[in-house]
Amino acid sequence: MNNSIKEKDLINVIIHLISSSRLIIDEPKEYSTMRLFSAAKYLCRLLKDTDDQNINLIVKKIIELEPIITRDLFNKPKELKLCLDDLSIFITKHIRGFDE
Amino acid sequence: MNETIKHILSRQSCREYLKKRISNKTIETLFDCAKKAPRSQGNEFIEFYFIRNKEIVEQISWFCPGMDDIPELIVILGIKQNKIDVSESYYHYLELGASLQNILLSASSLGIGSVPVGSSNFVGIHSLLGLSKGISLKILISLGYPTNNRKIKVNLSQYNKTRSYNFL
Repeated sequence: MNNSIKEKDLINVIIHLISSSRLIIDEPKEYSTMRLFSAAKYLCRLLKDTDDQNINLIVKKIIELEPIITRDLFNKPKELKLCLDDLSIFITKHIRGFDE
Repeated sequence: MNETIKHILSRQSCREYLKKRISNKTIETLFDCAKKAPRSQGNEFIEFYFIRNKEIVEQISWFCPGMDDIPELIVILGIKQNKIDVSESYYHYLELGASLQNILLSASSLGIGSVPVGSSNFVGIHSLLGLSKGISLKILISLGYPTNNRKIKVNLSQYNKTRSYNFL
């Protein structure tokens, strides 16, 4: 794990998640995907200085996809599912390299 | 088309901002415009918060999942609960809406982008700012100079789709 990640940075992501949890009760369910993906993006930003090539690829991919997921595909569930499925496959391919 | 109509028809939500400070004079102008909303029953229902301190703005942004970029200025409008005599009254919401629109339009006319951030954790923000219990926060606006130089272009196509009204 990147030693430069500060507890304060993680607490901020936790605040984002807790605030999202509270707000989603009154918001359209489509917002849930958007909020969770944003949280993933914030965590990826904390990992962007990683030395691990595989983690770096995952981080870059998630940051690159964030505006597509949260804006372009926000109201397109079919495309959203495909995009997230593709991302899951992309991630699994790269986490396999962790143990090598 | 006069400038007022142009800004009403062309204003769009702006979610990405330049790192450019909004001056005290500009903030005073925004405040004057916000205050100039029609008042109900001569009461002062609305409490205004203008937040420019970078650390506080950044901390608040984590309580706003609907906020994409850290703005240069945050404006929060709240209601003074003790000013509302009748619980069923909705006048304060009318006043608040008019104030909100005055801020958005005056900002637009000054070249400042803005967006009302509905997804804001007001309980968390209220506690963070240490506000009194009598204040109920209702809407947060993020503001800043837009990253792209948006040219004012009036496009009514999306409004024309749902254009109907009762004319008696």
